[in-house]
Amino acid sequence: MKNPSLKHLSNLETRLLDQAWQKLEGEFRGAPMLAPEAGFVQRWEARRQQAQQRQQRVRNNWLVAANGFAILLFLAVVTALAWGLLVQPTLFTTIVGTIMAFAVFSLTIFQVALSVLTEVPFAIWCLTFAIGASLLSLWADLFNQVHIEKGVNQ
Amino acid sequence: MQQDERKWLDASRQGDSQAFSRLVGMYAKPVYNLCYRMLGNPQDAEDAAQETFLRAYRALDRYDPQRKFATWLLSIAANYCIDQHRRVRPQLVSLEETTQVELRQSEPGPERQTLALETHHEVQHLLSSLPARDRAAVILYYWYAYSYAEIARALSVSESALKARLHRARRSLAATWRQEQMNPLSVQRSIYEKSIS
Repeated sequence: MKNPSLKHLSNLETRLLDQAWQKLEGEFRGAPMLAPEAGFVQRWEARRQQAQQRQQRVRNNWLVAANGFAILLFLAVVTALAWGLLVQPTLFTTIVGTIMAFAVFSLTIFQVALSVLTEVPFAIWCLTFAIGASLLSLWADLFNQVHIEKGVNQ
Repeated sequence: MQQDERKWLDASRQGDSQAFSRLVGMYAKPVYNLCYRMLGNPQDAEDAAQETFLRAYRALDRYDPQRKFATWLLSIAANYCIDQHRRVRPQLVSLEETTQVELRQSEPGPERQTLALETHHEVQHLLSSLPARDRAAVILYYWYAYSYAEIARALSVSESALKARLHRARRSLAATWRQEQMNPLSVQRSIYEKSIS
């Protein structure tokens, strides 16, 4: 601020505001702590019970809706299958055949995995397990630290 | 007192609602006062205070025992009131109904009672001229005597930002007060216009 009269006015304004605040601060510091009407705790307990009941109702409604949806889905699948069997009788054998093929495929995968397990020496497995466990604990520790910091900031 | 609080807190965290009710009784006044100073009328203050305790009750498992329970509770109340300000425009309502009871107890003579009521009106009116976040900072600083660090944590701001906010709020309060001193009738009129709009 180059203009001296403007600077003077600004200083004056600050001084006047400071004086005003000196008077006001006393009022702020002397203002009483207001209390609620009597029976606040009883009203709170009633409100908590209402809230819990409401929450329970919502939970029940969701449960009913989820069950209803599952039943409807089941009925739809059964109907579709029954309809398919009626229209095309060979569909049943096709479905059984697909399930069997999937079972054979899974068995092959399992046998291959088992052979790999037996081929690799036990010491290598121990080493791999140790490295994996230490990496996992390192990650868990880091995650925990980040989580705590987040909690503190909130 | 501190031991009782710790005992009730531990019991509450294990699901004892009676223990939490004791904490509600213990902190009803400071929480209500904050809500009242923030929202400016008894109905909203009561509702906000009840909601604060309900939120605290639900969030008990997230409470960090290293932190002071009162500060945690007041931070929930302050943030709730700030949210309420965002949602609805606060209304200016007569303070006489609720404040007289409180002031009657503390002020003996009718003159002093009237004076106290006037001061109360003035303080509340000045507070209502501040933005919600600045108001929360001023209330926590002057009514609860918390340190800068505690208030900054409660309002999720840095200490330097809080100091700047308090400085700005003090200047704004002083300016509003000076303006009112110079032209009281126009201020009375603006209060009346706000209350009927």
